[in-house]
Amino acid sequence: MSYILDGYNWDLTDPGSIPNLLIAHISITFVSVLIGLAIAFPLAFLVARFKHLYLPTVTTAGILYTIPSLALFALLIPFTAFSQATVLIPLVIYTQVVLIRNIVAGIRAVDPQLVEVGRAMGMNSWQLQWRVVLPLAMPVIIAGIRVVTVTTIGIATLAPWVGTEDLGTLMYQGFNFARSDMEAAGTILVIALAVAADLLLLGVQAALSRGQRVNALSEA
Amino acid sequence: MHFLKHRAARELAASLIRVVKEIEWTMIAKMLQFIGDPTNTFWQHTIDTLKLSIVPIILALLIGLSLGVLVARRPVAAFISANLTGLMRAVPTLAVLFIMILYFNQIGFLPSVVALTVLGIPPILLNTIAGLRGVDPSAIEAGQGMGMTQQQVLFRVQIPLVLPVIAAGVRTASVQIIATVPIAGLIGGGGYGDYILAGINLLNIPQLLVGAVGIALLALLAEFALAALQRAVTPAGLRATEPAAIAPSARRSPVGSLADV
Amino acid sequence: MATIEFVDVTKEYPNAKTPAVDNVSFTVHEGAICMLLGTSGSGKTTLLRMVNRLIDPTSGEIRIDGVPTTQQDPIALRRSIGYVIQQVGLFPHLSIEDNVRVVPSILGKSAAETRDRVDELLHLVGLEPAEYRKRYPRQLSGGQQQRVGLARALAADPAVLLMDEPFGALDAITRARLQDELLNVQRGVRKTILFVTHDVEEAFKLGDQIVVMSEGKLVQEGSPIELLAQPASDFVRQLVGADNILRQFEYQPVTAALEPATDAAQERIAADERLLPALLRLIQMRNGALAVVRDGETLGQVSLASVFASVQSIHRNASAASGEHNRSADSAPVIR
Ligand SMILES: Nc1ncnc2c1ncn2[C@@H]1O[C@H](COP(=O)(O)OP(=O)(O)OP(=O)(O)O)[C@@H](O)[C@H]1O
Ligand SMILES: [Mg+2]
Repeated sequence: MSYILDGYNWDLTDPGSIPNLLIAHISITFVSVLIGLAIAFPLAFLVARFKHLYLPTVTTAGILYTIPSLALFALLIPFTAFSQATVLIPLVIYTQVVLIRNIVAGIRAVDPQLVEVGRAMGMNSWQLQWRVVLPLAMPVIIAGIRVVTVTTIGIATLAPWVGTEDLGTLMYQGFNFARSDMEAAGTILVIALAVAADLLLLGVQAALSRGQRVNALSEA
Repeated sequence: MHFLKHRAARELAASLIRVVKEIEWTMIAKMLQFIGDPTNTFWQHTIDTLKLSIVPIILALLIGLSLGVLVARRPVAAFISANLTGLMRAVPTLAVLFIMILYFNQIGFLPSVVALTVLGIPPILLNTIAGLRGVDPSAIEAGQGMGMTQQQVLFRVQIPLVLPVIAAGVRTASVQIIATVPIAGLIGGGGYGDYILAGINLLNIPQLLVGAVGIALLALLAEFALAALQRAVTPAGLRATEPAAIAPSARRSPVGSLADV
Repeated sequence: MATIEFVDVTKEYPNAKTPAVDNVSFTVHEGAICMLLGTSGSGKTTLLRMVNRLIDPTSGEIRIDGVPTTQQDPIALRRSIGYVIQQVGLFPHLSIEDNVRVVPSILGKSAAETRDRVDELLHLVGLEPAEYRKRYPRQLSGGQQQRVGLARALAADPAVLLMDEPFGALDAITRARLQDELLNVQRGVRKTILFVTHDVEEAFKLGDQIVVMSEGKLVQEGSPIELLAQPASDFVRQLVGADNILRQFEYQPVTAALEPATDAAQERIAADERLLPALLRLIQMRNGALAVVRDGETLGQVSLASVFASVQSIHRNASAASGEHNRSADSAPVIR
């Protein structure tokens, strides 16, 4: 606690200060999840339509997910050295399996009759996806984003070991210099960040599921 | 992101060419040479890695299973433990390791094993609870109705239905634990993590790759073996054709597979 | 308003032995309610969904105001046709208000522009806008949801309304209430309505025109009375209950039992009244007669004797017809 409370560690001009490390951690997470979504969305819509592609895609993503994070960082060092790519590439790869599975599951869980109704009302295929499929799939998709965000925050703590600074830096340096106050500060901050992100996205999830708990079709 | 696009892309292309040239046989030869060099104590590292994996898996299995059986039929206890363990999953792996360092005030094998065990318990506990609570009471009743004894109901109805769910939990926990083993290496846990850490620090690529490839292979091996085991204990009628998604309510599906690692 | 013409419409689904809709032709006139009546699997839904091109016919064509639907852009066509289904299909993620204004909004209208229209429509279907506008579908009963479904279908003021068993999932009382409501609404909006049902009562109550389908074929088409009086086959006779005297009384107009006016007529009855109320009145009066009038002009009278005579003649026709068509119900002549 002493480390967190020490005003000296909140100096914004110091790149190693708590707020700067926190911002770095958040931006690494944010960028990874964003890139992850940018890849997973088109892929998921593709494999939701071409069903035979689903299993190979998810299996590949799953196998990649099984590779231990530190091993994947290490495997990239010969290629990307200690650049930020060494951290971002694995983080993005790890988001894929959960995102793709949840987006596809969300799309598939949309009642086909509602899609049909949208079609009957004259929606074009873009409007159908945007106004019917996506909003109805959203709670499941957000659930996936939530898992992925929390996981990414966790894995990103390893970034300092491959040369990118974030909250893990406090743990890394604390360990190297045998400073348990730094270790504790890093641990507490990273847990707080993960829990905060989890709760925030839980709130989003709840807000988005509004009106949707019971399917109108099964009730009518 | 500009930074990434330009520098990283250029770096990537350059190093790709470099590595492809280099990697062919020389890299594999160097890795084999590293493994063969007795001063690197490859077998000791392998044994340490296995110890660091298997001991926590067994401990997590024992604790998760008995705790699960204990609370499954007590709704309040089950609710509390399910939610607590669910919440615990938000705690980053490295944070768990550091909590153990701080708690034991030492580094090395002991805090690593405890941390890995703690990480392995949630999937097994949650799936044991879900499995036991998920057994359709009418299936039990049907068994009793056919004149099965208590024991026959247990062995012929309950266990076959629960085993696949627990097996899924064990698989998730095991892969999770193995994935964390090299991270334990960062805090002096030993095993292949040592190679990765030293490889990074000394920029010794063969050493780094021996550690990374070794642990990746171990993780994949465990994943495939346990997936096969899970399939083997799943009655044909219950086999899903494809993995389920993560439900919005439960952060992770009770029956885990790859994505729940 | 619009006229819908079906011209030799056939639909064959892939891998099906027989066509789901087999060479069907008929016309629905502007502002009429046409009931598609038939047993399950007779092709009613298929026929309906070809109108807004959710399905395209294998052969033949459907013309709306003379223009073949295949010459129109399906998206634009669908936006000009209201669609209501049994499962309602309200979007669970949208409020009632947003559900009603889906079609205007995909046409690019803003919420502000459509606000009054939404209120008007909710009023029209008997829901108080202030109370229901902001609710979500799951907070409504099945009957209320179907009212919203109707309001949504009417939102862009389509000339044509397609309804596929819209009241099929409701209890008898709610169904009757919504049927009355639909007739009420229709009095104001005069849409051309194609309405699928397998409930004969509903067909008779709502229909200006009834199309009886069986195994993809059009078996008979006509007004409710034509169907009752001259069922084209045993199938239709059984379906519409032509042998049911009470139903005859319920749907035959008093003009079916007209006899020349005499001094016995003590009271008057409008020419578009049915036999049943006339009969009840005659029984109350313990004989006598009712003068049948239209626009102040006396057409004749009805008495107990003339009513019975008319029903007996209908029955005779019916038995004769059944004798004729016993051999082959399918080859029954179609009455137009
Ligand atoms: N998409 C489809 N693919 C293949 N066959 C279909 C399809 N839809 C309907 N059919 C078949 O076409 C025939 C007519 O079906 P349709 O749904 O039009 O009947 P319906 O009169 O609406 O029946 P119901 O009263 O049960 O709703 C049935 O034999 C049905 O099995
Ligand atoms: Mg139908």
